[in-house]
Amino acid sequence: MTARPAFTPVSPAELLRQSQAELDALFALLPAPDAAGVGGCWRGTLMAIRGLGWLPRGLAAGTYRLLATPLNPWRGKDFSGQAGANRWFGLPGLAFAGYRVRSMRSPVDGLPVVWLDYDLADNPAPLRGIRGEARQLGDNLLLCRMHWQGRAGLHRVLYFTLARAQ
Amino acid sequence: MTAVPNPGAPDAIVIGSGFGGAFAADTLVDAGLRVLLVERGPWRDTAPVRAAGIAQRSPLPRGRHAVTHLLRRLDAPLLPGGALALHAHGLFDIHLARDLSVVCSSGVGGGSHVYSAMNARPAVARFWHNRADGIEDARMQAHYDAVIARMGARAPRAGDDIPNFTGTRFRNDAGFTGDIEQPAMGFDFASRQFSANSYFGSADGSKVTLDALLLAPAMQRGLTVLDLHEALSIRRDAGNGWIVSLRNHRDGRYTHLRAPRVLLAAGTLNTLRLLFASRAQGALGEMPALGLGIGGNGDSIGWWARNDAGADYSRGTPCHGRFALRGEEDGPCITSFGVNGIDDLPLPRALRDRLRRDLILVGMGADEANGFARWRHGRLQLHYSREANPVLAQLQASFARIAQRSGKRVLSLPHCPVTVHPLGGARVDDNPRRGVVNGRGEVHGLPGLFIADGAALPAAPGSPPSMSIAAWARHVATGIARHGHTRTRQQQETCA
Repeated sequence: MTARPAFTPVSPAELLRQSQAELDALFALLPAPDAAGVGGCWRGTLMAIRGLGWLPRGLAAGTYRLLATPLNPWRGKDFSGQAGANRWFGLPGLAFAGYRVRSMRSPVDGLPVVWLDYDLADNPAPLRGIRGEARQLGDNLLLCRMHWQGRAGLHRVLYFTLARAQ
Repeated sequence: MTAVPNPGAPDAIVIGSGFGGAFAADTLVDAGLRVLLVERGPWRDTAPVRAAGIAQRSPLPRGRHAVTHLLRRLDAPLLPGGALALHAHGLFDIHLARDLSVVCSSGVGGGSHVYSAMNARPAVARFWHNRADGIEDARMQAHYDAVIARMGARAPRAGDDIPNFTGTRFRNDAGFTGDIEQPAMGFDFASRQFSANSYFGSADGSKVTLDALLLAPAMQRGLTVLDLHEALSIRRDAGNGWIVSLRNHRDGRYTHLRAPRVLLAAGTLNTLRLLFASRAQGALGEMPALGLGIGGNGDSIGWWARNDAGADYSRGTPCHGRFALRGEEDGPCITSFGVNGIDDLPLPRALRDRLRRDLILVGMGADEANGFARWRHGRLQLHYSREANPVLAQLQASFARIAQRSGKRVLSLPHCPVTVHPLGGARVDDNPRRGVVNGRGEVHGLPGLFIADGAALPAAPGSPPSMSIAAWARHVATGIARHGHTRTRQQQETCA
């Protein structure tokens, strides 16, 4: 087996400038990763946050770059088998807000996705309505979105990428 | 659940509209494929494009647009972020680097707007011989025959009475001769329009350009062209096809298109940027040979300060033609140009009159194509050694002899190589550790992804490379059609 160069996945800068609708279109085209293959620690970058869509694209991108700095305590996620947790104040940092992980059809578009379900007894009540979806943007790079499960259905909250931490 | 094929989705997306993209798209359309071509630049405002009914056009850099529409982008090491985006409608991109600087163009029709109109075969004999499986020199010659014929190109003749044509200008010159093989030119000699037709574009359409020759007519046969749409990344979709992410420069919006096959023909530098950026995102696997084999086709530029009284070298065909020192008729390819389009530049009249009396020399030769490109911090870096490419010194020596024989200085910057013909970086080779694409132009290990521009050339042709790029693109597209990737007529009718 030959050694392969380790490419550091880069969250594409142009994603930070895109709206939720534009990312929806991209997300719908992407393949789902193998849920068993997402194990490990992933660095997160937020984007397309609901409520910030009115910002000019350049300003929005700058805001999300700011949120990618240590000013934002959320650093990413980790996955272990059929479970995972968000990581705070560094990687691995502190674990808080866990979720169940499974492969299934997205209730949004009916296509394969890795689904994150925060409805766990260990989570505070306000977090238990969170749902997440992940698809493969590249090797070691996922495009994900977070929903809120309300009474009327799923509400898209934001997008984020996860790049496998080296 | 299987994905339902979208009858409106293209069979192929072609990125770029220069000699690679235009000939590839035209060939695929003729084979019955539904083709979408995306081009980051605009349609140019020329007479034939207007006549083709293209509504939205952008001016060439002349007159009051000479400054605003000249530059699109400047890449330089000391700039913040390494690059400055100037004007999405600008004609030229300039990539400044210590080892090798590059000037390339932007717009529907690509380099055909700014090139010299020389439609030449390689100066290197049997250029395609033994390059890779699936490439036969004889078959490639047939592609050259086809593309040169399509350009309507022929060599200028003495009877054409062309101002400043080297074939006649040096007839009685003791030091120089133009009585050597002259390249065919993609030029409408019958138009008798001999000004403002070269590197700043040809507004009157006297120079044959690909937007009018191939792309507008192909739109009548089903080709879709998205101008001012820049490809930012390529990645695989859920169904073993490809996703191309685009930015619309008109409104800043992003679009993501899917197709079973993608042909990269964005020009060497932009194709490499796209490949490197997409690979950095983990979207394209390893491609260990990406970046290898960079060259500048030996481009060497000089300013021949002739100051010939009464001369107006700004007139003529886009290039005046080849010439040689008498006694060195088998020497390297050296061509002469005037400051073509000078009357449209916002310069003082005295300066324009002075400049029109001088010549620009461009020499070309087969360099070793032994440079390489790297991707660092989101920027393309070119590494190229003058010392390792002796043709550059040979051409500088030719310039020195030209100066000596004429008694007029030839000014050049031998320590700052500049090319308008960047080639390689994603070259063809059967071995994935030496080349990025196979003999069909398909990227090793990435079915459905093809490279159809100068990035794939395996070596420097040593002559103007436009026809080599066009022939290669036609070869790639013909192979796609031949290998059963065509939507059958029945399928087209069913989906209509």
